[in-house]
Amino acid sequence: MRSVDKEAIISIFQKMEDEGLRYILIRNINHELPSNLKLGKDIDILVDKSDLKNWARFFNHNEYRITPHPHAANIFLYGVDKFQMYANKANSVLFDLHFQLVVRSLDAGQWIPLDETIQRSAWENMRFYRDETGLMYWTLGFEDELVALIARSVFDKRRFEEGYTQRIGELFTLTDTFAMLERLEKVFFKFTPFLWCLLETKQYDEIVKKHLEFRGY
Amino acid sequence: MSNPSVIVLDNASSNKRRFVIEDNIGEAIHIHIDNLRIDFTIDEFLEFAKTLRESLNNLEMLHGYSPTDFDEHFLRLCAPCITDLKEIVIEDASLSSLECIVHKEYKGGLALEKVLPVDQTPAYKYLQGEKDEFLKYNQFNYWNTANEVRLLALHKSIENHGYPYKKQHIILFNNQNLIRDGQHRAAVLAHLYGLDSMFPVMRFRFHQDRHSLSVGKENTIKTYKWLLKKGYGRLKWIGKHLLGK
Repeated sequence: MRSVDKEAIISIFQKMEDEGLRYILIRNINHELPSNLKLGKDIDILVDKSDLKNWARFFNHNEYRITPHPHAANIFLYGVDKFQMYANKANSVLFDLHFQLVVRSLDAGQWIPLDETIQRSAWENMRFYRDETGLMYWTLGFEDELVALIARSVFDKRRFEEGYTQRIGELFTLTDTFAMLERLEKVFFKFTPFLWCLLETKQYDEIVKKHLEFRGY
Repeated sequence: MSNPSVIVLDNASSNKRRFVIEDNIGEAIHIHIDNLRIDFTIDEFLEFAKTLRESLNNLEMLHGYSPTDFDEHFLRLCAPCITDLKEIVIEDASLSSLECIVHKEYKGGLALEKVLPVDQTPAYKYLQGEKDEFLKYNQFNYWNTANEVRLLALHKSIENHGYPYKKQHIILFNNQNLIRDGQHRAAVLAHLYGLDSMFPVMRFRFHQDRHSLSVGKENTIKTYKWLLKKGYGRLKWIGKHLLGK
C-alpha cells in the first residue's frame, strides 16, 4: 500500500513551527511519520479551540481544505467539540483536529473527554521532538502519552495492538510511576492498581477482559 | 468527572420513563429512574438484588416458584407479563409437537421471526453437524459466552444432570406450543433422545390468554415500522441533498 509523501509531512510540520502554531501530535505509533503513513490515514493533532481561525487560515494558505469528517454523526458528550478534518488533495496529507483528548465510551461509543487534569497536563507538559529525517513536532509528555495510549487501547480499540504495546513498553521506562497512577486513577478509578500490575507484567491481552470484570469497588 | 467505562447492564426504559442500570467500572453501579440516580457498590447492588428476589418470593408472583428457577434473561423479558400470570403448570409434551421462534435478518436491516419445528432450528442443526448457521446466529448470550460454548455447556449439563435441572423447564405460554424459553434445551433433548420423546414442559397460563404470540402479526408490525423508518430516512436524504435543508 502506498504511503503519503514524506517530504510533504516534514514540510507541513516545519511550517506549523514557523508559524508558531500551538498543537500537540497525539501519537506516532510505529513511527508512521514521516515515512510510513499509509494513504488515507490521518494525522491526529490536539489544538486549542480558540486558535481555530488561525488554523483555518494556515490550512487554507497551504492548500488544505476542510472535508467531511467520518465521525461527524457520532455523539460528543461532556462538552467535547466535534473533530475537524483538513485534507490536501495534491499530497494526500490529512489532518484530524481534536480539541480535547477523548475516548469512546464503552456503552454506545460516544466521545467522552479524559479528565480535565489530563487535558491541562497535555498542554503544560508537551514536549518537542525532532528526528534524523528532519521531522519535528510537539507531542504529549511521556506520562500523558502513556495514559492516552492505554485509554485508547481499552476504550477505542478494545485491544492492545502491537504498535501500541511496543510504545507502552518504551514509555514505561520513561515515566514516573506515581504521576502515572495519579493520572490513570482519573480514568480507571479503583481498577488502576490492577491495571498497572497487568501493564507491568505485560499481560496486555488480559486488560480489556479484566477491566470489564472488575468488581473491587 | 466523566467515566468512559460505562456499560449498560439493563435498560428497561419506555417512551415515558427512564430505567437504566449502569456499571460505571471502577466507580459504582448506578440505577437511573427518571431523574433519580441511586449509587451502589457491587456488594450493595448484589444485596439489593437479593432483597428483590426475596420480595418476589414473598409476593408469590411466580406461583410457588422462585426467580432462581428460571433463566434470568427470560424472567427479565417476561417481567411485564408477570402480573397477568394465573398459574404455572407442568405437563408432558412430545418434542415433535413443539415449535420454535427463529430470527432471520433480511437485507436492509429488516429482522423477522419464523416458526420452525425443533429439528429445523440452528441449534439442532449444529448438533447434527451443520454448524455454520448456528455459529452466525444472532442471539442473546451472557457475558463472554459464544453461541457454541453456551450450547455445548448445556449439552454437557443435560448429559450429566438430566432434564429438567434446577427446575428449569422448557416454557410455553397459554395453549400455544411455541417455546418461549428453552429452545436450546429442546434442541439438545431432541438430539440426545429423538424428536418423538416426551418431556415435562412448564406452561404459563395468563388471565384471558394474554401474551400469546402471533408471529404473523409481530412480523407485520415490524415490517411496517421498518418501512416507516426507511421512508423517513429517504425523506431526510431528499431534504438534505435535494432541498439543501
